[in-house]
Amino acid sequence: MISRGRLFLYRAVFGATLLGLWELSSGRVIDPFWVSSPSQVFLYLYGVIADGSIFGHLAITLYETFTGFFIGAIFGIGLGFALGRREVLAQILDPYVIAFNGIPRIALAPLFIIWFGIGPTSKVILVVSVVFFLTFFNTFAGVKGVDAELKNILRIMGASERQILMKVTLPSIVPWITTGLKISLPYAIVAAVVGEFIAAGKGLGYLINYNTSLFSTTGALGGILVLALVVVLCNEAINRAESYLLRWRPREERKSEGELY
Amino acid sequence: MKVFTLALALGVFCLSCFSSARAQAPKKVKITIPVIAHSMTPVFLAQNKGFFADEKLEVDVTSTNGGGPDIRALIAGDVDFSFTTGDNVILAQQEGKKLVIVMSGLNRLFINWAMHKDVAKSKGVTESMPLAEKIKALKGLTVGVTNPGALTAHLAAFVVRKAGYNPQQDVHIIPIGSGPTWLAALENRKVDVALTAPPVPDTAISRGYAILLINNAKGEDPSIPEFLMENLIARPDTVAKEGDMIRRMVRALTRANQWALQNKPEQVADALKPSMTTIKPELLLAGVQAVLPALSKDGRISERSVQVTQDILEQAGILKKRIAVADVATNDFLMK
Repeated sequence: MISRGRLFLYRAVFGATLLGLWELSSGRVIDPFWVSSPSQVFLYLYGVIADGSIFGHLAITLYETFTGFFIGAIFGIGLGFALGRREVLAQILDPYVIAFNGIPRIALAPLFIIWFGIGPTSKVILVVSVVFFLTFFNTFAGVKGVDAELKNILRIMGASERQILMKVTLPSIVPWITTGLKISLPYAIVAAVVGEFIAAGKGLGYLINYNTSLFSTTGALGGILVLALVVVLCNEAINRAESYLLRWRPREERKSEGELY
Repeated sequence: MKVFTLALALGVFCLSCFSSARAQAPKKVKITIPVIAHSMTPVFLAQNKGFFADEKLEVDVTSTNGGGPDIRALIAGDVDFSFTTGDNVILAQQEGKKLVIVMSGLNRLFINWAMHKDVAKSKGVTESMPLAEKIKALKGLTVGVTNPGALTAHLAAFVVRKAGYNPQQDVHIIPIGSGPTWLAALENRKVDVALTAPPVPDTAISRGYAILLINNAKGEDPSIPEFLMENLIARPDTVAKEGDMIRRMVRALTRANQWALQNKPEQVADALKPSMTTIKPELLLAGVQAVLPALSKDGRISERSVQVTQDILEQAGILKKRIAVADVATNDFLMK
């Protein structure tokens, strides 16, 4: 197993190599009009951080992302858990869940803006619609996959349903839930940004769209870089939460300690 | 020997037929347009009335569903031309990418403002009152534009400043998208005023919840007498190497405009129908009546239209340095 310090070093070297190649190719191999350059992007970011203008956009996007993420996750995990334990109900709702999940969210985005307005609400609902299904399917699969033999053994040993739930079912589905949350987080950010692309007065999506309209690749990439950084930080937070929740598992079974997706 | 001579003659004949057919084959041209709307009248008429075909051009028109990708496709070399607003050319030049306007299709600003009826009532605004009083009434209101960085956004900032107000402080400007989202935002009072190209404001008015605040298509704003509204735009390499193709495109589009100006609006609306199938007939006709005064008779790009376009970008705070007319436009390809 690689040490944390070495891992950090390798990651830093890889990132620096990518940035270096980008800087070198910009203006020499690729027209900077299309790709700008890391130095230009960092200068831009320094400017918007120094004058504070980026923070208002960031705050709005984070608000839309996390509000939608939590609402979507609560409902997705809740329904996934309920349907996983109610076979008949799951069978009744199955075609509806599949049908709703099949609707492309990008097609819904303009409709949400018409229905719920141009403010953050429409973007929050768009995020909910994305996060809900990802967490639902993972939780549902997790509940269905709980070891039946283990539950039976506990029943023979005289455990109540509540004890089985607390000692077997819930611990078993935690990895499924955290995987659902990890997968849905970048999609949540994408949904918020897509909503902002269509109609918004603030947010990172607005900022990227604005810069793109003015042919400022530097500004657009600056916004994209901030988004990427947010995704990485959020993913790290979920990894840590997962590690904490799965601290009872043997170390080699904990996915988040090693790597990663 | 006789057989050989006959075969040779036949070969020469076939070759000449082939090269003659090749010479007469229409030239394939790709062009992007930002939207399917009345502002694209010259392109649609040239296509539907056969003016492109007359010039031996086979024109593939692609709508990009919004400004931006249309001009970027041109810069990237995916298409030969873009028929779009001239502010794109000035802004691209500012970022170091040169493009050339080779013809003006619409030389008047074709963006109208609509105000929600309730707001107009509470502010005492009417369609017939002087422009200066109308724009003074914008204080404290929310103005909807199509997209951040779009021409509507620049124009809104320009008008707000002209009224003596500060954009975002005295008048809030927010993007609300185009088409259905634009209409929904105004109808549900998410914005008090909104601006975009006809026939969208006309739709809001015809549905009874808005009044026409500023009719730029009719030239209501005297500070914008001319504008680089819709233009045929090409890359410098096309200008240098494909002069003949550009002349043919310009001829076809100029003929389209002249045909529109010489015929009745009903005939123009009929000719546009194949390209604008989803628009109701009454809105199609209303849009034609609005666009006719904005059509350029000869395709000439005036210095004034370039300067006024730059005035708007400058007032909106996005033009860092003014650009010489010769750097962005040429009238060399117009019909003699």
